[in-house]
Amino acid sequence: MANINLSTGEVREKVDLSVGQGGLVALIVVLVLILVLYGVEIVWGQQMTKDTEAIQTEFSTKYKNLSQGNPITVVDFQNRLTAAKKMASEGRDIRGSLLEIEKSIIPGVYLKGYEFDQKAGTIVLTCIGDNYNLAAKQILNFKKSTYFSDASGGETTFVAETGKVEFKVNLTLK
Amino acid sequence: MKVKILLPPLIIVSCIALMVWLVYPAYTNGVDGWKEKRDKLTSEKNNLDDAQKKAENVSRMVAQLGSNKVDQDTIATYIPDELKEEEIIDNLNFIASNEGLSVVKLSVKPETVVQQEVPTDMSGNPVVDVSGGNPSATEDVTVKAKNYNVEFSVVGNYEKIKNVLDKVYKLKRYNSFKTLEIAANETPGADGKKAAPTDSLKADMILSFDVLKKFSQTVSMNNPIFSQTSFDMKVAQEIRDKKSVDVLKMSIDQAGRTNPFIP
Repeated sequence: MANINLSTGEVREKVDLSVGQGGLVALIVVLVLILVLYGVEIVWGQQMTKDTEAIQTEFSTKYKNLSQGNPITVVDFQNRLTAAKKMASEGRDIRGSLLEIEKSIIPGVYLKGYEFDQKAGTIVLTCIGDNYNLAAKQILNFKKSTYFSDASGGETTFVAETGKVEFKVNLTLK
Repeated sequence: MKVKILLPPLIIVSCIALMVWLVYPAYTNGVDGWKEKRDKLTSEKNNLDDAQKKAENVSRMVAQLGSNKVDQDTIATYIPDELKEEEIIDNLNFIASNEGLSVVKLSVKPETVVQQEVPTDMSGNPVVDVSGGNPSATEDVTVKAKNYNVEFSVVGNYEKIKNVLDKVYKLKRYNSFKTLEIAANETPGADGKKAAPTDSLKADMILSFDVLKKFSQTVSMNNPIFSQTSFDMKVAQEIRDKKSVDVLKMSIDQAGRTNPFIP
């Protein structure tokens, strides 16, 4: 029996060949695209380097301008403002404390000495009273004052020469 | 035919090799790849924009100073850039004399350098160097205000002393009382014994006057002041409200003597 070959092999080979060629072209295109991409990266990178250098130069000029002349005036004045703010809140009105002491002194007592110390925030008063009772009342009256955060009695002595009582009052300022 | 079979895998391998050894390292290599260059460019653009904004802020603030001489003078008088001890002596003497008090002592001497709180870069951000724009060191704009002690003693009655204390406090130049001692002005009587108590008191005080030297260092762009568009001048008004005693300005009428040792 004779074999009859009905297959169309030649035709299929042609089709496979055209598909293979298309794939090859696609691969070549991809390869070219990769090379183009690399080239773009290099060229664009160089351009960016140039742009960066130009910006750095401009920045340096701006910075130099910012570090001389007017900006120094601005910083100097701002420093003064900041220092002034701190100082303005620090200052203590001594007259105010004297007025408060005037109000708090009771009859029969007078001041011999007034010592203010800013660092300690205290006023030490040396008072002269007619007797111990008045000295005690005076200390109590200072304790009642809302102007001072604290008031305490100190050394108390009887002065024979004058027949009066000398006593100290320690006042702490708020 | 064999070449045709080998070519596709060869191209695929080449593509992979190019991607791995050329394209990707050119894109990013941690140093000077395309991505790093782009990031650097963006960062430099931001720096430049920031510098431009700060330059504009500086111009605005300088214009504000120029148009607001009153506030500027208030601050300059309140915290001057030099001691002007002659002014301190003249003003304290004037205040005391005006009240009819005798000035027993009036001396000015420097104490210690004190640190004043001023705007500083507390975040520790690196400062951009003037020459190269490279981060170098942290900014140190701490300004040193020099403190001067003025020993001032006056003799007079209580009311007058009180007025002097008030006027010194209200002097338009900043000063603060460090210590104050008021006691009877005890002068021995003719017989050498203590005289009877009088209204005459002696007030010994140590006043503190501060001087803030003119800022002359190189200014860093990281200084927070440049991010502001204007000065906050509220404190100037606050000072004017509290301080009402003008600081006298001195002038010399005449000078020159042939023999300076003759009284």
